[in-house]
Amino acid sequence: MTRWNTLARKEIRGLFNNRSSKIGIGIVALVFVFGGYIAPTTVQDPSVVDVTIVDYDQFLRGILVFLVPLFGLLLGYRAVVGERAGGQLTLLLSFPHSRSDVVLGKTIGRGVVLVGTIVAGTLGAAALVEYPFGAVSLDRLVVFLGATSLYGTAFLTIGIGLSTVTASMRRATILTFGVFFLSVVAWPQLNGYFLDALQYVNLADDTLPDWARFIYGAEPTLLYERVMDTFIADVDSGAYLGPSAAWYLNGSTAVMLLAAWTVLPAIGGYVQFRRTDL
Amino acid sequence: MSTAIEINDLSKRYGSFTAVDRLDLSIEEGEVFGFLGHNGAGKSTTINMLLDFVRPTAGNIEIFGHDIQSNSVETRKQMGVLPEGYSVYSGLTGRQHVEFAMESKGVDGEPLAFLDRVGITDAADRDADGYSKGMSQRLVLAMALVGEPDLLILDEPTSGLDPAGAKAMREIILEENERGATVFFSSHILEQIEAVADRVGIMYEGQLAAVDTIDGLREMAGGETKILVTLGAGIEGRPEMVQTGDGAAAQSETVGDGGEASHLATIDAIDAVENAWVEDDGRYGITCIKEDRMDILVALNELDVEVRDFTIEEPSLEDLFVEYTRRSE
Repeated sequence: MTRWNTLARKEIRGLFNNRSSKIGIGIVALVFVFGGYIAPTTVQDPSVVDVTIVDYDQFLRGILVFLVPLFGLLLGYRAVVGERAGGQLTLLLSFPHSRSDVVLGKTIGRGVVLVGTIVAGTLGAAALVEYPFGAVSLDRLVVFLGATSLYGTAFLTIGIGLSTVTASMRRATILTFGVFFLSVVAWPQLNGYFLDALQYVNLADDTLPDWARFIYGAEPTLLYERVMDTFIADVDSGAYLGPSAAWYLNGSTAVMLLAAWTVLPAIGGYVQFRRTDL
Repeated sequence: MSTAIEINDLSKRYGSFTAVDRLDLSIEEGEVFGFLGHNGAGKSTTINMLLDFVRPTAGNIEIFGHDIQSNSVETRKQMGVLPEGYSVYSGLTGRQHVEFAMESKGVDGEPLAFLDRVGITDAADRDADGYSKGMSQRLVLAMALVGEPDLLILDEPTSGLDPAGAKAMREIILEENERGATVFFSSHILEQIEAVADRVGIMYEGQLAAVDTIDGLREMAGGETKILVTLGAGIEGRPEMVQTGDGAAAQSETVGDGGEASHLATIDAIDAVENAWVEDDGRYGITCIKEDRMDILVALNELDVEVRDFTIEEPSLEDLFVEYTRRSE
């Protein structure tokens, strides 16, 4: 495990040497900054009410729940399979690197780029929110950065996990598209069907039982929304965050689940990758 | 001497196809071992198992006494590898590739020294993606030489190289061996192996058909020298001696029969000749031990048989290969 940092550095250099990935990274950062430019205009009377990160979140969240997963998946899904199909992995593994070094180095290298992009974009936005009428509180900014970084990293490691389980670039692309569609587009709409299914097998009454809410709500985008609702938007109502909700449905648990999503997919992929023939 | 590579009862099966079949082989430290076989004979699968790219179905491999599966990274620290089916990184120059190799092996120094050795100094600062196959091959060889490895594993090192490049490759293999490195390399080109290898292993359909020194293999496959001679019409074969007046057809027929038979008898009568026959093209084939070949030609001359042309054939590795693979079928 000693040489993953060599690989992580190489990964970062590789991303910035590639024109299309450089452009992609730039666009993502710009969207974050752009949000900071627009957010103050969404506030009714910015000269009276301070513009804050809460407004920024409110304006940008609808965009981020598409953009951040897409960015994470696109950064991750070719990481291993691209080099495996292309033959660079053969060269890489001729040197004293283990397969765990490869997965770890790629995850960390690409994670640094992802988090760096989010941080740079958000700091740029925060400056625009703060000036001239705003008031950005440091703790909310840190929460926003932390939660959004976790969210992006979760999809990055899902992408890397997918890229380790197959040797075919085409299959990896299809899997990634499937995950994006399921998680970002379909999952939030499946609530009703989930309830219907549980009612059909007599596991639910009029609403989802708590354990089912926990499972349904453990999807990264729903977790991110819950974390932001809890710690940025100060929401304290609804099935998950209301006063009568079970403790394991709250924002803190959501943070931990989101953190788990940043590690488990890559580990799962590695376990499979470790045993396979190149 | 201790063992550099120890392969025990190694097999790799893909479904019902057996790529490598119960391979046993040990390579001593300091030797240059040539691994010979046609494409698909199991050479690359074996090498990929040496590198832990492919996991064996059965058997195990030790390199310098360490099991390669449980000490995969440790063993590769001592190795320099030119794998098969690799690609260089696009976006990295030749120099950056060597720098990466040095960083991976924890070696300090000047990357250009390695590029110099394989003769691609001029291209050091160009994107390696634009390299030709031969240049990539040289670049990866340069990367393999980083850190003075104790064991070089080269899979088809001369593929993609022009003759000059192939010669440079052979020289580097010999230099590295001189330095003390063990070299294990595969090829389907016999001259490459013949020129540098101390021992040769022949793979055929997943099995090791033979392992020996090149001289040893020659001897085993029958170390005879073959002489092909074109003879002029011999003493008894002279047209005037057999002329009967029956016409040209009869004449030539008589000449043919009489000439061959008598020449064969003449040749067979020479002591040094082990075997003699007539080839389809009318030439005479003779086998003998290497040292006697000139004596036979001289003897033919003394017997008044006109030798118009001759070729001497030593058994090539190709013949040995064909012989061995035929035998193991």
